Amino acid sequence: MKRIKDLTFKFFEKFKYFAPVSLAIILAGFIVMIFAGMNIGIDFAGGATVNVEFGDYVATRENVKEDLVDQINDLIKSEGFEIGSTRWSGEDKNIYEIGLKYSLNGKKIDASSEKAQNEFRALLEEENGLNDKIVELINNYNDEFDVIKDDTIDSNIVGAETSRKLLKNAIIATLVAIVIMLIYIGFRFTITSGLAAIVALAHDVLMMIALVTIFRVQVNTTFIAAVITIVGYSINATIVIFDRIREVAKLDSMKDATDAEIANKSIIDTLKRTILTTITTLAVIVVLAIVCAVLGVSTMAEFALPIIFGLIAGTYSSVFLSAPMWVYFRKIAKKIKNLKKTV
Amino acid sequence: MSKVKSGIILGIIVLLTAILAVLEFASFPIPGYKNGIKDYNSIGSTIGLGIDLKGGYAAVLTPKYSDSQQENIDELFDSAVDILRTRLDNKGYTEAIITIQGVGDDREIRIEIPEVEDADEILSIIGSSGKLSFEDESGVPYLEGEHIENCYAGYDQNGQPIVVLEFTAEGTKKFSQATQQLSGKTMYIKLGDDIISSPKVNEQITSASAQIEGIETYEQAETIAAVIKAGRLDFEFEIGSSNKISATLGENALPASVVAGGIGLLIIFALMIVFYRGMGIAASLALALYTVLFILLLALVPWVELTLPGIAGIILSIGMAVDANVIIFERIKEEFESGKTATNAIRTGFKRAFVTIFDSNITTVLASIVLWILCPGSIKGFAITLLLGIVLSMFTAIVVSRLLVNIMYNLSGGKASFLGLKKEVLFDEED
Repeated sequence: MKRIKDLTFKFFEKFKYFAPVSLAIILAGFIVMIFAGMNIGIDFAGGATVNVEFGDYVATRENVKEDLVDQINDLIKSEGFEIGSTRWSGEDKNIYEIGLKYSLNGKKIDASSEKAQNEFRALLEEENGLNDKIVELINNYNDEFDVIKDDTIDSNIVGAETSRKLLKNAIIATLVAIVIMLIYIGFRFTITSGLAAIVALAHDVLMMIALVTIFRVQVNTTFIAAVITIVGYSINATIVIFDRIREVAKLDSMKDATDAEIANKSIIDTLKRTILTTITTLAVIVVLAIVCAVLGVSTMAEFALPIIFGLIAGTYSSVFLSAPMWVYFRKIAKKIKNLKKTV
Repeated sequence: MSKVKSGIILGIIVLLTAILAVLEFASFPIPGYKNGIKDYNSIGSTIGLGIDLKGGYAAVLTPKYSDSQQENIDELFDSAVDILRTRLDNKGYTEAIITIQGVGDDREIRIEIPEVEDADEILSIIGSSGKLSFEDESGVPYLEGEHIENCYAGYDQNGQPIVVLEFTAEGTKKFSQATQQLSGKTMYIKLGDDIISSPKVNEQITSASAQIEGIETYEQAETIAAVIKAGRLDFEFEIGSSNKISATLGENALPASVVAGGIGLLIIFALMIVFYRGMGIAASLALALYTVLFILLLALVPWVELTLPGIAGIILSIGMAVDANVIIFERIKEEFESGKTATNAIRTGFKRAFVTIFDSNITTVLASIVLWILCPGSIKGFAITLLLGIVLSMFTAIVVSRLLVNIMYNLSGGKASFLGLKKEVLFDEED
């Protein structure tokens, strides 16, 4: 059995094959984004809510309620609306809140103007609009019981201002955090290491966005947290390798080694750690996704997906991209230095 | 350390972990009391939970503006949301959700607060709906919120807590007039009908800033400053409809995460023991202790309201805790293979790995501090969870794992192979 540390894989020399793979996936993601957009949730895009308040008759009969909810969902879809989220409220879980996206018959609606928002609301509230149809459905559900006619319906337009503000704050804060991390890495390592780490980080975040776009995962405020989680993970993984580079470069046996040799050795030295850490972290999140999917908590499973994407991208970039990039940045830095000397 | 001493310390750590685990997860009637009269509630159940995991209460607020304010209604609406956000964050409700609903002039603010049971509680959290004003005894107003430029807590030269007020140009003039008239009397700073602070005016103040003295604690000063700052922009609102919300992710979400977390930990334990034998057992114990300590911290620290993103933060920090152990053990193996004795390898391994762990974790610590400071709402809550998790994981990996690895080594009677350590030569022979 060959041991990991005896590998002689030339990571730096193979960089020219790996980099295009990443670029291709990121590019594919952005092409999908241009043509189909992202699957943005109501948090960020705004939309409408339809609240169906069931009367006592339905509210106290769990099976009737479930059946009605299924029928209401089907009705909404057949009317061409797109459901973004659903949830329950009210003292006895008697209000069914349906979040509708700005979309009709599979096409997105530009709802940036007040007029467009009012028009969308009218689709729900006009005579024989969606609300009326839902009420009709409930009233016709079972003619034997008049009692159910105390069900009521209400709808409203939901803005995305506050979530967008949160997003704006999160982006600014993340950028500030990245600058501080860059300064720290520049101080503890070298500025070229810092730059390589930041490029690897940008790669991981872009990968996440690309994969989420391609696989049509819904993007909500929770996605911000998923991205920040990966930012932390990515930097952590990269620094472990740079820490090794720092040490390997000081070894007597590596005195005459090139940057590429140092990088290759450092990647291999830390490879077992990288693989083991990734497996354990992935195991926890995959188990979370599976358990939640089995128990019917689908939103939770959906949330795990971007993190899984990010973990894989983060591991990949820390092994195949970050150290080779450090070598390239060193080359560029040397060239600039030489240029200055000759001038 | 002798074998006996090692055994005792190991016993203490195992016992402590087990006791904490029981206290965190089990709720039971306290013996000696009749069932149901006095029950012990698990520590885990006291961790604040967000709307997605536990539900809460929602209310619709309709801001009321005077006619003169109508023209810059967008701006005022914006500031109303900010004020609410500040008030909620200050009271630890970082996971409260604020959304704007309706169109144009019919817009309303919808506010959802986790773990709240009724509309009255919402009112008491977001504070009085009134405006900020500086008045005399008989209620004659001198200054209003718009005259305050900034307000913060601090200490005076004697080390006593104070609240510093900075006025706008107009505010400076008004405050000067007010202090002239109220010299020797008391000034009342009110939010609606609530008196926030009632400082005595010593003399006329003409400068652009003033301080409120005679505050007992710094925490009090901070609260006063936060309320004044939040009430700086005037708005009033009416509470419209309100209703209870159920856990958005469904009631199964939390039990499902706990089960998943348990399974995930068991997988990690298995992997660590397969790869690192005795050191793996030490790591598993350290991770178990880490988990129970983390849950304890989550229950104790304010601002923690666990949500779906918070669970991600916990997963990441568990990943990093495992990572720290892996880095240390790989290092010990390396040192051992280079010819050191097991005791020496363990010592140097921990020492060298410390640098790696410190550098790789401190960046995330820095990032979470930045997020905590700069972000309102749910990201703040997420950042604190991440920060706690990482600091704690560094502690358990560096201190607890080290202790446990040494204990394992002593208990095995100094057998390096028990720790999974093998010399290069031995390995080749086995091959």
